[in-house]
Amino acid sequence: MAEAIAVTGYVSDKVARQLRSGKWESIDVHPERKEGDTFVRVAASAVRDARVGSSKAGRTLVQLILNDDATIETVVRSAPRGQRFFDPTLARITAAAIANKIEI
Amino acid sequence: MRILLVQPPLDAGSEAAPPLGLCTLAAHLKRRGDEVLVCDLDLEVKTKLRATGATYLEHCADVLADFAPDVVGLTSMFNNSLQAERLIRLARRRAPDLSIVAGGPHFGSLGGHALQRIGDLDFVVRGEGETSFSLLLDALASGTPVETIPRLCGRDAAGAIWENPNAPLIKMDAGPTWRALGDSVDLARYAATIPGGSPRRIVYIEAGRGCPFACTFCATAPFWERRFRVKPVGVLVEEIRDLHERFGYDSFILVHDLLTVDQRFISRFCDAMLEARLPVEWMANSRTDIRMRQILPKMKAAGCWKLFFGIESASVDVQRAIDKDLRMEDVVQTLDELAELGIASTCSFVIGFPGESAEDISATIDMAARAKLLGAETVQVHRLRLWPPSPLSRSGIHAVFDLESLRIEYPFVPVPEEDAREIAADRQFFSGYFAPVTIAGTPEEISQIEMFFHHTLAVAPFTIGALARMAGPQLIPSFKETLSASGPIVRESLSWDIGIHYANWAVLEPLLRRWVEKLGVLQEWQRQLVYGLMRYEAARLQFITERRGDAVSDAFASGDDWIALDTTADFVCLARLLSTGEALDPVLLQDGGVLVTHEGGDQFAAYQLSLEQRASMAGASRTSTGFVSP
Repeated sequence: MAEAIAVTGYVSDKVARQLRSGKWESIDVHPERKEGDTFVRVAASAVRDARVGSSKAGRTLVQLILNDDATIETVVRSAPRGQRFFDPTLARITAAAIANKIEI
Repeated sequence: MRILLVQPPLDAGSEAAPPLGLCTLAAHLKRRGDEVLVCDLDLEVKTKLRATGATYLEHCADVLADFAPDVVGLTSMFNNSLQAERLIRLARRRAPDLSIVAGGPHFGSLGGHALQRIGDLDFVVRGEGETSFSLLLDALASGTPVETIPRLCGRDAAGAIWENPNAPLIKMDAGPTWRALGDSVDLARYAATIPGGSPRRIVYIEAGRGCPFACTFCATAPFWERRFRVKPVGVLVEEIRDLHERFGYDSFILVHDLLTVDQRFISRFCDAMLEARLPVEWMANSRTDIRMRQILPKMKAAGCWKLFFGIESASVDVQRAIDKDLRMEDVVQTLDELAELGIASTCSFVIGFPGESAEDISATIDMAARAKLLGAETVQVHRLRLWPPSPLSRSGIHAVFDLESLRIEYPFVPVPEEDAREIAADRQFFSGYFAPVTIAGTPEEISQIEMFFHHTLAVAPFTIGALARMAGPQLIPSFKETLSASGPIVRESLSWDIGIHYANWAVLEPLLRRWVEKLGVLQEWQRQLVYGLMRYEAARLQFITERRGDAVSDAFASGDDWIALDTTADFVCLARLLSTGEALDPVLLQDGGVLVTHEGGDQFAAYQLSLEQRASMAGASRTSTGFVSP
């Protein structure tokens, strides 16, 4: 089975429509449906195939298959709140904003 | 023929799910052309009978009179077998000529023994029911002999019980279950029991049957004869689409002992779900020694929100003794991989195996806390139960009646004394409510360990994780000493609903505090660390329960949606050490602060504050909205 590197996550329905039309330059893909402080910024030039999935509550699942030599940016927005730590009683685990190797 | 399929009352909750086994059988019979009605007394109790005061027996009597079936089929899930038995007796009294058949997890495992116990029962179908039940209906309709029907158990004219050999298992290639049910079941009534505002609308659907492994405590693998089978991908996706579109279900529990064992199937299922573009999620059972790293991203994209893992024990000896043989390194790696993708998990641990020591359980609790810190959404601690037809249930190990096991899951709370007496009197039939004797402790102690750690791992994972790491093998022996001096926790004082319960902390904290005070193996810095963790866990539990900063008296500053707490621990470092399994160090004991914020919905976040940040927070307005420095 073939493998590729892909960014999988969620964008707004509006951005998803742009993806479908092929008219886009750069998008921010959030690893979870709810927008968080960490996301992946992907340029159109880095993508060889864009898959658009289901939509729920205004957010659409997308999977961007990257070119072999593509680079992407992981963006972390933070307020000066100190260092975040994972307390499982407060929140569920959330996906990392990274690209993954997938089967295609 | 007219077939009435009956489920007895199942649990004391308020939500009801369609009874999967009965609905599957009902769909099969409907496809044959039988006239079928499912009488789910669990649904009736929850939606009607509690309010009216009528009993499930009275309701069933009305249904029997109205529907006038030719055959009644009953199922039971172990915990409601006594109610099933009473329904059988009721049906016999009301209609002496009726054919009464039992099956499902309990009766279907015991076969002829169920007939011995219940004289009013005519037949039992052992194991998989579709083929045998159909053949039985044909024989009853035509008046032909039933003695050759595979899997069927019955009585001859002299009252002697016969049991027929098994038949080949069916292929699971029938069409979708739910559409085939027609008017046999009113699925909308189940959907209506989901409370408004629930984050998920969950329903169970059968994905297949059979686990190829042979864990000695497991009842379901031998029930399905360990042969892995799955429904066609297209049928599964169609069932999901149907239940989503008709009833708004958005979260599907794919019922299968071990669905992920066939990764080619999972891959095909994910492809179909991606193609279908359904805005739904699903969860399934897996094992931590099934390597899934390559396929997990696709599973996440296709809607996998959670996987269930039975980890059972951290002890190598116990793993070997129960023929499970999981390695804790694989558990950690799997949870790491899931965390990277934001896939939740439930990790289930079992205590009380024969030969398991208190020190073994200490290691298991440490692993359970570690799993929680690695991202497991739910960590469950259960006692070993001897469900038939598991090999352990047939091993003849010494076991004693255990009311606590019954109280966990009985459909009526409190358990009526009469019911407890009946169950205690028949170990062979009700073996699940007899606790195996173990060297780790008395049944009462094991029950308390189960209850205490099941709940404290949910509300105080840092405290329990740190205690487990620092006390090592002495964790459980020392807990038992404290328990002996302090007396037991009362089960009814705890909430067993899913969620975070500050009220549970209030019940558990006094025993926890006494234990820490007496725990001789702790050095002074360790004790101070634990007290600091307890203060943090109590305050943040209060905050997430009240959702108002000013409700938390321990906060040195607060706003509508945040609190700032003094702490004596480096939580960033502690969280890392607890999740990696490393030893804790005195350097963790550091003055500082923690900011806890409400991020909306049921999501909160915690931030470690440096001393400088803590100082700047100290003057922040207690009434300001949001996190605002002065």
